[in-house]
Amino acid sequence: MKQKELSTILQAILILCLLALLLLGAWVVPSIGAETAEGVPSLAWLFWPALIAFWLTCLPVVAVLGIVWQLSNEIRRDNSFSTENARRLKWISVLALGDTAAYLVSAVVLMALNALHPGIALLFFAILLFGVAVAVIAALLSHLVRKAADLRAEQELTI
Amino acid sequence: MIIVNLDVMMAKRKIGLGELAEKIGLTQANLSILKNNHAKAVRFSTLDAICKALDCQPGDLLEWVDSPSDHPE
Repeated sequence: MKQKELSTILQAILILCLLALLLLGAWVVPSIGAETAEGVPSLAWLFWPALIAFWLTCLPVVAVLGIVWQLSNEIRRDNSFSTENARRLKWISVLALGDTAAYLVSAVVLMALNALHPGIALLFFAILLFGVAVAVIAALLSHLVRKAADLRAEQELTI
Repeated sequence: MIIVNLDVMMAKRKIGLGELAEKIGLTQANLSILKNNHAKAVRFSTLDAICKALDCQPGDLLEWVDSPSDHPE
């Protein structure tokens, strides 16, 4: 079955994403932070607040991965068009928007502290664009899935 | 709202759900949805087959009744 293959591939990608996120949160970001703290001692106090803020913004990403996992299970069951899936996609949109807002606030705080390095600003800008894109696409998909679910229900109840 | 009086006609013709479903080529589950007024729409071909099987008119099967849901405030 094609949808079973798609579901399996999706879940494999999700596991890789989760591992990458763990690697990022547990090793990459803390080591970059430590290097920055060593290089710029005046900003060393920002290490833990910034790292904790980063970990907190990872939580919605983990939640989104969990929701996509549930969606891929529904794809496997050939139950793609349901109001439940539309609700899940809406949640992805809300979480992406929330995370984007969190990064926007972080950027403003860092700017106020005069700690927004141009490289970090560029990274933040990319994250903001990505977050908004995910939110918009998920909201759009949620609307389409809800419409498709309505059509499916109507078709199934036409005798 | 439209209500389906299929059960009344089936009783008149003394025919069971399974037998009628087989005659008109529908599954019992779908015919049951229609009989219990859970259907959202009926195909003309289904209506045609039921009328043929029960020797009746569409008006014998369908009835309009006034209901509060027809008058949204």
